[in-house]
Amino acid sequence: MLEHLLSKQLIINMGKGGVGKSAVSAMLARAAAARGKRVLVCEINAKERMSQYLGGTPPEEDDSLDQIWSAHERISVVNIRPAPAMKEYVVQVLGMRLLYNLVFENRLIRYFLRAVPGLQELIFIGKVWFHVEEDKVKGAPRFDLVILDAPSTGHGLALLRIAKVVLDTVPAGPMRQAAEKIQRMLLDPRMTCINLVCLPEEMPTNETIELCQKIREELKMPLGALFLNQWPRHPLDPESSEHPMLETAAERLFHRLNQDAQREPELVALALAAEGGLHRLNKARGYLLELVREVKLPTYTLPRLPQPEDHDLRGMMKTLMEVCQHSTPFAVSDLASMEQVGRRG
Amino acid sequence: MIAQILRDSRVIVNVGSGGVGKTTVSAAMALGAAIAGRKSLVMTIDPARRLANALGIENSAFGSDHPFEVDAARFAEAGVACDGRFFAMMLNHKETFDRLVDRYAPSVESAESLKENPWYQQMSTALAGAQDYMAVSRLHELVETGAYDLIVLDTPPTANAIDFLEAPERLMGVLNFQPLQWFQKHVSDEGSQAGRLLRWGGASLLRALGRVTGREVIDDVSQLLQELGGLYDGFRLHAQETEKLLRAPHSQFFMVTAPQRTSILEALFFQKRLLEARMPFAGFWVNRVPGYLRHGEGWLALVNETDLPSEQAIEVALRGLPSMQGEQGALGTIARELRAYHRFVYAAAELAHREIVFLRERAIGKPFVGRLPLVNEEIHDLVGLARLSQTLLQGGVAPTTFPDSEHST
Repeated sequence: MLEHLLSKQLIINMGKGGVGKSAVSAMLARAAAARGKRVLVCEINAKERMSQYLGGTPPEEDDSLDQIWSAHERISVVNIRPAPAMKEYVVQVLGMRLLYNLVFENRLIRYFLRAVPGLQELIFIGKVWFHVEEDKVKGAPRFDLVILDAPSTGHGLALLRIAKVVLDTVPAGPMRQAAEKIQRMLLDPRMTCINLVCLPEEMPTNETIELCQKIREELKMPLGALFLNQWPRHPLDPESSEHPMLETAAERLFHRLNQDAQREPELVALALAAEGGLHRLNKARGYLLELVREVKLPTYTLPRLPQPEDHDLRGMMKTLMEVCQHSTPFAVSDLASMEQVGRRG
Repeated sequence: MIAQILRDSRVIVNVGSGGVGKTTVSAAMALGAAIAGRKSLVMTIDPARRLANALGIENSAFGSDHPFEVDAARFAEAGVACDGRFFAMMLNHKETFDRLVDRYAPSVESAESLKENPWYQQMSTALAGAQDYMAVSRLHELVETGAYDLIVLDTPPTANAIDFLEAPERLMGVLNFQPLQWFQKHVSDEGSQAGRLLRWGGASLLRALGRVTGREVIDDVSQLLQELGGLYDGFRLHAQETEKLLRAPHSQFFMVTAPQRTSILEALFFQKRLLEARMPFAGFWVNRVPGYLRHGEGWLALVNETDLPSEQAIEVALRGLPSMQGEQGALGTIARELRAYHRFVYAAAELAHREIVFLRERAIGKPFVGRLPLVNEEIHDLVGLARLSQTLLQGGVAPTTFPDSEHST
């Protein structure tokens, strides 16, 4: 699966802080690269972490330049930061190096530019647009797919919204022209898709539902899929537990073991840990149902995997990619059968 | 020590990266103080209204930028005994900004003109760190009223936690009248020497900027900045007072983090920054630490490999249970899977424990490090919050599975 996403030119991954947007971005980059695509992962003013997920050695940060660096075969990464992005906009997009040197290096001008509402967001998303549309080598785009690892909800929405804000407030000029191009790209379902990343917990679920409404109804931008990260492991191997009653029976069993004061503590601990695991899994299923019902997007569950001791997450990305490729996402049509949804955890 | 902080502090600021449960911890701290008889307030700034969820209160009750009391009936219903009073509020940074403008604008006319500028609406989100600044400003306003014994501020989720400290300085940088005046002079007086120089250099400042943003934007924003410039003196005074408030002995900062390497590195970095800024750092809370099995009133330790009951022992224990009638054939499988699952849980808890040890080793000084357990139930009601308050007051939970001599409660 994933084909319906990877056929786009721009994928934007949105979600609350800490839900795993970077991991999903890295995983999708791996999946696209495995299909022979040249991929660019864009981070926005972030602390570098793609090397952890993808490998490679990020360059030293240089305030005059956002360097595109190679993290993995066919996967490049760029961290878009305010000052270098502004420079690139003026020098590369407007072709005015002299102007930049004369004017933009000035500290006072920088104060002013920082205060131009939305300019920073516009420059950020403008640079993403540049990599999708303009950044060409011998006439062809340099990258087949650009993946934007968006900042968390509020700042991410500001990024999606800014082009529209400019179109509503600015009557004419280059800022407006840039906004028109960006807005066209963001609204085009053949080019762009916005994915939501969430955790099977209450607060991220609520925020994701709100976020989805805003993107769909207010921004009217094309949505792709929902990735439900950190899906809890089933205490019993779901592959071997064919009998649908087994899980219920097991749950009752854990209760009994727990309540039986005569039991040795090791047995009780075993039962409690498994009961806790089943409990979390059932809660997670509840959020999955709610999310599928509300956001109406194909939904992938990504398993919670143990953190490797050396903090090298490349293997984990490969596993997640394989999980996505071999699973059919949940869809609204699955809701009819709660049992089915439950069974597929 | 922690109980004392909740009893004596007037301001507690909780910082940390997004997704670590900062809002819940903040609410539980304020609730803990209320249960102990104080009049407390938790302030949160979150468009997703997490606190409203955490308290199980309808969203409509919030959003007014004013404290809302969690009434006695709600406590009674939840069976939580509360001797004090507990307030919560959602910060609305536009309203705070409006009030600051009203307060510090040189005249009523100038305040009105500012608020009518089309770009003013965008202002609060456009200025980097403005949300953080508004949060601290509102905190300051509410402390000034003297209406609360303790205010707990849940800081906005930022990509970079240090934004919070740099916000006032950054806002001042933008509002600073001197460069603006300099700039204004060149905008309005194209005949000046600097203007001539720039033209001579090949492009006038205006044309140059106009090329990037469009001339209309320059005019609107120039006017907005000129008007905002008038607020500078007032804002500076306000920022100084606010900073004083944060450094006062009755204020405390806690860093909330998760037992994962990325969160811990960020927490360590932020501790360094807080200390450099001479802010009162009270310690770390590591939230959602796995490996705690609630058993009665206490916790049961996870079982290590050597003590893990054998498959046969588990099967024997299962066989006698009436609910397993008819499932006897699957008992062997269940026993095997239970063991495998326990190993998985044990390994995750061990890794989290090592991360906490890493935090303690790398932290500056010997700060307080409290653990809050990962529990089955997410906390979204008063009962859950009150239980967390209890744990907070006790300085967190002691490690059960991986005993640890350094742990202090």
